[in-house]
Amino acid sequence: MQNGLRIETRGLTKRFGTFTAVNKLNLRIEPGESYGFLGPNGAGKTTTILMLLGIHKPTHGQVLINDQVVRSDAFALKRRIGVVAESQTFYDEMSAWEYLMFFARLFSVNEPEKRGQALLEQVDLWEWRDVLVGGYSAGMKKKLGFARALVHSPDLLILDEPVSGLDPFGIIQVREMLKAEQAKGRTLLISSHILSEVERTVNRVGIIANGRLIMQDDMENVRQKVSGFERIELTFASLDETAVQEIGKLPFVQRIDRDGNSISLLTKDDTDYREAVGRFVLEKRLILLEMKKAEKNLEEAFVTITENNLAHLAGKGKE
Amino acid sequence: MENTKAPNYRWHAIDSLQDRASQSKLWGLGVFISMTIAFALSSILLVNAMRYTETNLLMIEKQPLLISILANGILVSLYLALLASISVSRELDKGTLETLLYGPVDELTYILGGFIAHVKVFSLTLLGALIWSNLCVWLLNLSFRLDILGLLLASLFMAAELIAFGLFSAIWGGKTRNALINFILIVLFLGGVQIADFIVSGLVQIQTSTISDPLIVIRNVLASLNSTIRWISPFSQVQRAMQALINQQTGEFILNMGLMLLECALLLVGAILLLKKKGVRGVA
Repeated sequence: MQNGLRIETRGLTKRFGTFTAVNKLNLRIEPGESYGFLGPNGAGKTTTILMLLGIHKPTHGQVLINDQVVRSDAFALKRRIGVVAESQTFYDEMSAWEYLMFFARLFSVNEPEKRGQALLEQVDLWEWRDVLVGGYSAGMKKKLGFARALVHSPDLLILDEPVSGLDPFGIIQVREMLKAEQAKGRTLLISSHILSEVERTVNRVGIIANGRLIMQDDMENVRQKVSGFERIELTFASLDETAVQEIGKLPFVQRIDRDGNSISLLTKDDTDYREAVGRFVLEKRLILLEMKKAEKNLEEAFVTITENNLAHLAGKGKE
Repeated sequence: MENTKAPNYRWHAIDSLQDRASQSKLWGLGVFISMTIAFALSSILLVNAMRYTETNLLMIEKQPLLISILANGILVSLYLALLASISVSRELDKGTLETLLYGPVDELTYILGGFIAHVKVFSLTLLGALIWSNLCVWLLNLSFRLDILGLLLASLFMAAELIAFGLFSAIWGGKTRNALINFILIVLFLGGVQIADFIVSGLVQIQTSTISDPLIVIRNVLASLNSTIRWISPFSQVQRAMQALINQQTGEFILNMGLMLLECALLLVGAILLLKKKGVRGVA
């Protein structure tokens, strides 16, 4: 079991001219935690990550990793961090093996050949190890980027959009790798807008929009905090169009989607309307096979939270 | 997994970077082609010097090898400085430098790694020059003097200065094309003024010119330019170092070597500070 690193930002702000990319960001990620950093495109996720890595200097505020200020020459600290960037670049004239061995040497990895082979086998690139990286597909490069980030067994893994460019099989592979890294006690910071992916990998989430952290909580609490609607799914023995229209006219129904004999209701608020729906079904003598409240996925939660907060911020701006 | 025996993280990183960069240069054909061209040119210069001695019935040519060795050093170091500039600006352009900076590499480490790699490759080409000069000494029955070693050392200092300038122009230019244009224009300017001054001053001396002759004006402008840039031009510095060796002026030789070293250090510090200021993404 390894010791993950703690990340803390205090009033972290980054301005590019008059544009504020990150605004007074206060994050705290505990050692061994798997943290999802979410936000729409342009929210400030990558800028925050670049400040965490010492690539961008903050305009105000501080980044602390294990209570140490991150500077570009913090070698001992940087040797404990692995990074998978959103847009990765490689030395195209090197083979995957040469590339990995170069980074293994840079990070002073013990038994680099053994480690390199294990990682390339894990990402299914062992057979392609002698091919020049320039000839790799985007997905293969992404996997090689994972191998590079893990070659020195880092205590903190920072991943910016880790599954973009990967096929479904690659996504499953990466997910398994991340779970394995988390099980070893490493801290994971995963920035993504593919929310369903983060939902399965992280145990805490921070949502950023317009450079501000608008929510930070446990995964479960984030789901519960999402208010404003519920989704009820019903399956009938048979269903005609009139019945569907009548259900759609119920006062608490916002939207109705039909798929054969199944319908999905989106309610106008977060009250549990299953009893009301049950009474209506009995009244109309419909044969109901199944009724359940659908678990909200993070995609819906994310859209709701960011939309509400952006509207709130816009309202504040007008005042 | 990490080897805790690594004594100094910065030096370890510099060593890893310089090894990768020098290996890639030595496995390529470019260095060997430039060396071949340089040796061919040096041989032509040497043959011409020998013919000149013969035709003018001179008994002694003080050091016929020095000019050839100097020409060889200038050509190879220019090629390596250009390579240094291209490789750094390509890393900036492509973003591979950013990936390095995620790890145990900072601006100083990166610049020093690139600098040492190219100086190392040049040192290896100097070995070739030493073998070539020994071969000439043996074949042409010339005398081998320690001046040759002094000039090889001066060539190394000049190459270091040019490579440092190549690195500086890469960071300064940002994009590969801009870096190349900056490098080539400045080198052409420094070398061009020196050569033009040499040619024009020779022409004016052999003419019976009046004071209003436009050639005189050009000569004066070039002479004043040359007197200024001779303190900063590596070509001028190495030439003066060579002259000092021939005239056995140790002080002058040390002064020019010191100037090359100082300029090299200033260019390296400038490159590091500029990279820190500009950042790898072009915004600080």
